[in-house]
Amino acid sequence: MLEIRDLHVTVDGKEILKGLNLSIPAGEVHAVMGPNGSGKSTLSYTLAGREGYDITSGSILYKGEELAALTPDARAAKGFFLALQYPVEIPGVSTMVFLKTALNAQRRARGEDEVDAVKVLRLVREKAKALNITEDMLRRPLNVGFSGGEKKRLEILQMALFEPSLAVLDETDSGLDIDALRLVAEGVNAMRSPARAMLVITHYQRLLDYIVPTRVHVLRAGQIVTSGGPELAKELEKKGYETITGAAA
Amino acid sequence: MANTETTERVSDLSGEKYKYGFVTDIEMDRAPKGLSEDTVRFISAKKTEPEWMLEWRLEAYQRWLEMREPKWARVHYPPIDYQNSSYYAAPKSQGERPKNLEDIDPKLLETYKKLGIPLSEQMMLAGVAVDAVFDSVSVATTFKQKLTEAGVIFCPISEAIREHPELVRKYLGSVVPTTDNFFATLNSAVFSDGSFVYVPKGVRCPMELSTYFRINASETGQFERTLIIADEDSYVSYLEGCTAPKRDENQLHAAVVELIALDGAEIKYSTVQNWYPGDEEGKGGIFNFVTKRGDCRGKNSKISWTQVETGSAITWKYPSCILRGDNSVGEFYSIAIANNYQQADTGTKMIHLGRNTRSRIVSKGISAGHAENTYRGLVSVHPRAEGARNHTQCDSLLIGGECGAHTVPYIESRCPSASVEHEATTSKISDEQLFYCLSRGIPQDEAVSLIVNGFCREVLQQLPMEFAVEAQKLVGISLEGSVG
Amino acid sequence: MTVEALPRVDPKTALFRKDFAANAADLPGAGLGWLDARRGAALEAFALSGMPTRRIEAWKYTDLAVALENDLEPATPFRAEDAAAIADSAVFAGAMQIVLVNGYLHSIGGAGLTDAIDVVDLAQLSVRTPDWVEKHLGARAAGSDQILGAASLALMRGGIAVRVRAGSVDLPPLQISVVNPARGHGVMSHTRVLLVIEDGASLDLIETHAGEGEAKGLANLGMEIVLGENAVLNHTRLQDEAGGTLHVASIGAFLSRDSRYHVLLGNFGGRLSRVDMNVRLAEIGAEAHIRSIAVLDGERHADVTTVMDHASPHTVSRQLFKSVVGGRSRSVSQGRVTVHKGAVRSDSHQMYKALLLGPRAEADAKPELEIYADDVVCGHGTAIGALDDTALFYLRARGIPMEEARAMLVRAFLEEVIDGFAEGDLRDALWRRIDTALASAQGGAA
Repeated sequence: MLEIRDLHVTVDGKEILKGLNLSIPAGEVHAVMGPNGSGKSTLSYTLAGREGYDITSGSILYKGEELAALTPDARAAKGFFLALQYPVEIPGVSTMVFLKTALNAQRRARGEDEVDAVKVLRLVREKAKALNITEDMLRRPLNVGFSGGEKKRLEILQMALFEPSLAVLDETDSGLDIDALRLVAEGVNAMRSPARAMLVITHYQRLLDYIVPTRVHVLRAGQIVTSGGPELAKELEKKGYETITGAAA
Repeated sequence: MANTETTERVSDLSGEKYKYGFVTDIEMDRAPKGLSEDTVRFISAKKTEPEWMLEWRLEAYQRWLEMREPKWARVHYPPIDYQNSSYYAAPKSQGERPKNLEDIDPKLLETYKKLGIPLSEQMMLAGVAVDAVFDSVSVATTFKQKLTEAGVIFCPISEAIREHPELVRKYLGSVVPTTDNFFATLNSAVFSDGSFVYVPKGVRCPMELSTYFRINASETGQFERTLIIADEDSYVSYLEGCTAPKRDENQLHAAVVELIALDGAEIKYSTVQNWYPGDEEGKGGIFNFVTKRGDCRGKNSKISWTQVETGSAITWKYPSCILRGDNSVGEFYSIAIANNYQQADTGTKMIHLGRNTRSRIVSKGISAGHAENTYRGLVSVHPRAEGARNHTQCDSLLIGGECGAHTVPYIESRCPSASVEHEATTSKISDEQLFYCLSRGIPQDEAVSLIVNGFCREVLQQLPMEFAVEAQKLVGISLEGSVG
Repeated sequence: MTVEALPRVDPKTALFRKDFAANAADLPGAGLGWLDARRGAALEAFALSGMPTRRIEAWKYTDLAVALENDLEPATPFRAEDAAAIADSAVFAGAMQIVLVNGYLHSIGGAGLTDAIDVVDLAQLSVRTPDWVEKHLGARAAGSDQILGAASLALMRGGIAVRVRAGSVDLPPLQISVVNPARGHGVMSHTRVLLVIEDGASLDLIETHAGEGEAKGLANLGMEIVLGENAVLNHTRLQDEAGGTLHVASIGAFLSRDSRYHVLLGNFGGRLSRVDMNVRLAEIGAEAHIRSIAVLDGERHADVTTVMDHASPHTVSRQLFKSVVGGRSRSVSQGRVTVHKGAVRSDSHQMYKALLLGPRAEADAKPELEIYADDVVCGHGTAIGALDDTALFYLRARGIPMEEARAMLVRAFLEEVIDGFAEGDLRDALWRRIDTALASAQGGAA
């Protein structure tokens, strides 16, 4: 599904990713863990195509297609989804309107028929229930005045609505209490399927108790320095990044 | 004195942003270029006006000769040659105003159909009565029958001058005097048509009233005059829309709108102004110098202005409220979008004279390209206006680093029990917002439109349903390609 | 000079021009090429617009031409009988004091001057005048955007230039006391003050204006402030002119990289006052805070008009003006914030508030934004009204009598401006002056 080869990325002229390799087959959930400043956010923004994240060399193949030339909206239409660490507030635009606009923009780009308002509403309500997202939240302006947990749940709702083939969750656990974390994890687990790949980016092992990954990779100074099974996350938690990555290096 | 000409065809317009830019090829009856006392007499004669009306016009004309164009607004344009324009143009087929819709030149019907303004009653959906003004004359008013039953008068002002002189004489110029300002005075001398509305006591007008203004002929100015009177305890909602063909020349539009609300009456006046704004290099476009003023003459009356200003090369307009009656209410909701080389200088005046008068101003200005967008407003509270309240919210949004956004509020209070509050913010569409939308699959132009519509929401909500949708689209179209 | 060639001149404009025509040769520094040129340009700027009237947009609410008498004579320097008026002008504890009488340097007192400070008497300009004075004098507060500032340069009789040398910090406060003793008839003074704070230096400045007598005169001050890189100036102005005086101060400040200018304008005295302040945030990281307090009783007119130019990225400005207006007084607050093209990440806020105490008081506000860069945070707010009824009721319900409750709330209203700025002696002096004015303003309203 996703094949990253020797990826070098600079931000503001500074190289952040320095030859990153990562391969995620369909049906698997991978976790990338790493300390602050290791390049986690850079990886997620680069995958989503944010401006200012310049790929100087290497490649990102998604379903065998090079992503680099695609704009963020084109990537989304092709089934790529990024749940942001800090979802953005857009005053005056109701959450429901936003969801409908995004869903139909993606469908349009794929040459599919647009879904009418009533159907979108039904679809959203159905998915919202499982995530404990209220009608009131859907009416309010997008993310404006939402709590940290509400924002993250809304990200998961969007993932459920858009049904991407590849989802990247960037620090989705940050700022969540244990109940909210569980809710979010359930939402993510419900999305696991043989046709879908997921990449969970996180600083803490905690999230991985709930979303058990197929593989765990440790990111440090812009490179994957070590990989392993779910037990690697536990080991990291116990021994700290220094020991593990030090041993690997 | 009239001559005839056939207007030129404009090249293929398909796929262009300004979809109203076409020209109707129709025979025109028009005044020769130039402005003199004879021009004024010519227009008055064309309209078979009574003597008093002609005198009124001539007085205004004399006054105008002594006036100078105002220069205080933040707009720049080459000198206007008032002699190089024609002050009257009418479709020839309309020499006699048609008695019913079957008599209208099919070409005109076709024009309005293209504009999305259905003039045939059976075609109409939502029950909106329309008065259509084509260049200098009103070509059709729909739903007359139904309105007459309710006692509402809705007709071209030229007709009102002949048919309802007592009302016209009493109210015309009573809010915007002929001496008011350069452009209003010019309008008083040469206005050719416009709409007239009278809603009698206690009547709630049964439908939205709407006037659709269209400039078609080249080298003409349009000077329409609108007069709306809401008698005691009546209600009327009125909407105007404006379009014009794409032309390299600048055309002058100088309208005057007067609203009068008597005791307990309410007037809601909405505008979607989409005159041709000029091309991407700033060539052509309408010069829009408009004087709009409402007089809350009676106690407990209310006048509400809502405007969506997306068109014109230059916009100079300040729809205002004189809050004369105790407890009267004035509102001004505005969206002004300036893109490319457009210049907008618009805002309002709220003059608090009566006790416990209230006013609310919500202005949303959006600047993109090389445009200059200015909010200019006055809130004035007189010593007698005890307990008066004003709240002003004035927000500017900038798209790109080449445009300007300006806020010039004047706040004057001479009453200790009054409360006047003003807030203003300036922001841009943040990269984070844009990226977030893009990452959810929403393309750039659509994302800009979405965010800007969110920014404008408070004002869009004020528009009648039928027009809110159109206005939202217009907001998007006006800003296409402004980011990137 | 081609002043004579200019067409019809109103008597108020003529007053200044006649003064110049009669006395040009005797003005300080006459004959110095650089000064003649700047004076000439300033006079031209003044002559082009003439004495400000309401027709000039920046003077929309203050008609100086109407307010000004047309038989004023140039003010004269110190006389023996002025000693009492000067003695009244108290020195703040530990301050270095410079006293100006009618615009002429009179004495240096208080704690005396430290070595870090150089002072030049502008009445004594000559070829030996130091370079830094020549470089800066008349560069600011002398153009067509500050008309009276231009006049103050053209007609300058005296004043001072002060320099704080680079890196000087922890200096005692500097107090500049401008005293206008009575002359028995209306006089006009044109004074210049130039203040140069060099790189890395820091100064607390207290500027006081006081006068005596009831004659209707004009005290016209042009003040230039130049802040070097990373320099700091904390500036407090206490304007307490005599009742007949028309006080006009044109202040032009230039802020270099990372410099900070904080000013508190206290407007209490005079028949009419106008502070015309232009601040140029010229280089990256510069920051300016303007606070203003006006407490107006009787028939005073106090106008504070500012122009804030954000000319570089990452510049910050804050403005907080509060007026309490009693009697038949009028408070005017105008400010234009301009963010120039390229001055991204500029951050600006203006807040104007006014309390009207009586039915004949008036407050006018015009906070303007002029923005040519998109990545900025700019805003302003205005609120004009009366004291909060609910708060008033609450205090009274707790047993506080009406007048006391009102005074309490008015003080609380003003506290926000003083808080975090003035401390110790200065804070006490400000409150003393505010309380006197409040007593009079509220009394006038009853």
